[in-house]
Amino acid sequence: MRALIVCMILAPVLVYPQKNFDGFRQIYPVTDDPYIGLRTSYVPSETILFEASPTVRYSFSNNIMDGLMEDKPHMRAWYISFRPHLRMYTDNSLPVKTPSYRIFFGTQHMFRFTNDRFLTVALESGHYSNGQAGCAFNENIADGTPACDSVYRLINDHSDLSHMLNRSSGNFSTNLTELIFNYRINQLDDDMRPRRVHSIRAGFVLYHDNFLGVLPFGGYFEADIDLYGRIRYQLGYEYIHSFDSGTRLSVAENLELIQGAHPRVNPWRSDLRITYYAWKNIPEFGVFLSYLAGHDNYNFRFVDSGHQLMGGITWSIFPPVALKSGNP
Amino acid sequence: MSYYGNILTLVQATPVQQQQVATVLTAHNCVYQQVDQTFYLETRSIAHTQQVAREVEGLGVPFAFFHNRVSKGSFCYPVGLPDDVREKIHQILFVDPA
Repeated sequence: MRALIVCMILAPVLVYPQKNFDGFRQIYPVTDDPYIGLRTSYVPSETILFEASPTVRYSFSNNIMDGLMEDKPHMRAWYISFRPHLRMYTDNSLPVKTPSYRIFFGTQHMFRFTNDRFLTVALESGHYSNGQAGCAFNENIADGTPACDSVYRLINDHSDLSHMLNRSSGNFSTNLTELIFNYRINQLDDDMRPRRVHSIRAGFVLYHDNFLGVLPFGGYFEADIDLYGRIRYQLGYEYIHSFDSGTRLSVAENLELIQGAHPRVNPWRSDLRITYYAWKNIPEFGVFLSYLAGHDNYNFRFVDSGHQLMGGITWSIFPPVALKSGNP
Repeated sequence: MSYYGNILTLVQATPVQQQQVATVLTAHNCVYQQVDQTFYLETRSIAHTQQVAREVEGLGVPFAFFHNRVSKGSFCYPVGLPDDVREKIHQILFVDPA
């Protein structure tokens, strides 16, 4: 199974390098859109100045845009995805603390059904870390040392990890694979663009030790995976309404459930987001407001739990393009 | 609203059939320019284009229909046509009235 996943991901990379390196006309149905914004903090000891997720994807092959216009039943994309996640805190010198770096090899396959419905399967596998070298629960000890091991041995089911966490240099590292299914029900306008969309998303993220499931680097420490939890289930729904003025409104609710994390970790996370794309001539660009509840999603800070408000700007990677040619 | 520049070329159509096509285009409020058996016509959406093409098809005249979203990256190169006809074709194919 692991070898199959690796072959699926690497085959087009080896066979079609840069065949369609047309980075400005590529769309992806399953995506976390890049954003930058202000948000409140989970814990009183830290105040967040702003947060950004400047996601970029570089395709080796992507025929989704062309395939939609040509009424193809199956479209696909093969790509590398960089999904950093940065927070700047209002500490002295305004540091970005323990930024998340995520890099994936990925593929998305979009299948066309009747009545303008689409199923997309997205598989991404890669590495996730925060580039730090300190012990996760003591900032005066290096990660991987016997002293750090002894700190981990002090952790029991009742330990308050949020209180113990080394927030300035604590190491977080794992390899991971993400499998997402997305089903979109579209009502089209006269230009074959979606006027109303119901989008359902379900899947999971699996943390594993070997890179791409087979290469022995970049993985987690055994003591850490018992805290992280191996599987994060995702379930989401989004409704998009396009107005005659060319603007559109999106309301989305996304849930995440961690399986196998430390007992003091809140397994749930809810993200309720309203996004308004207010400019007809820049349909990708929107402003959003989000209410978050449950665990944090910023590398090792998943041990934090609470409520957050966030507002900012975002760019849609799947703007309302024509979903079929309209050939009579 | 989007605008599309289309080229409809009839094949061996009689004058009566050409007039029938012109009537269809007028009925659908299309701005058009006829040059011999070719009609350069503007449509306002893909659905509008579909309606026009289907109705022309119903006349039973062989034709080819080229459909194109108004683009600044294309060009048309008519030779030997009066300036006003060239200008009208350019307007239909490339100028978004919005």
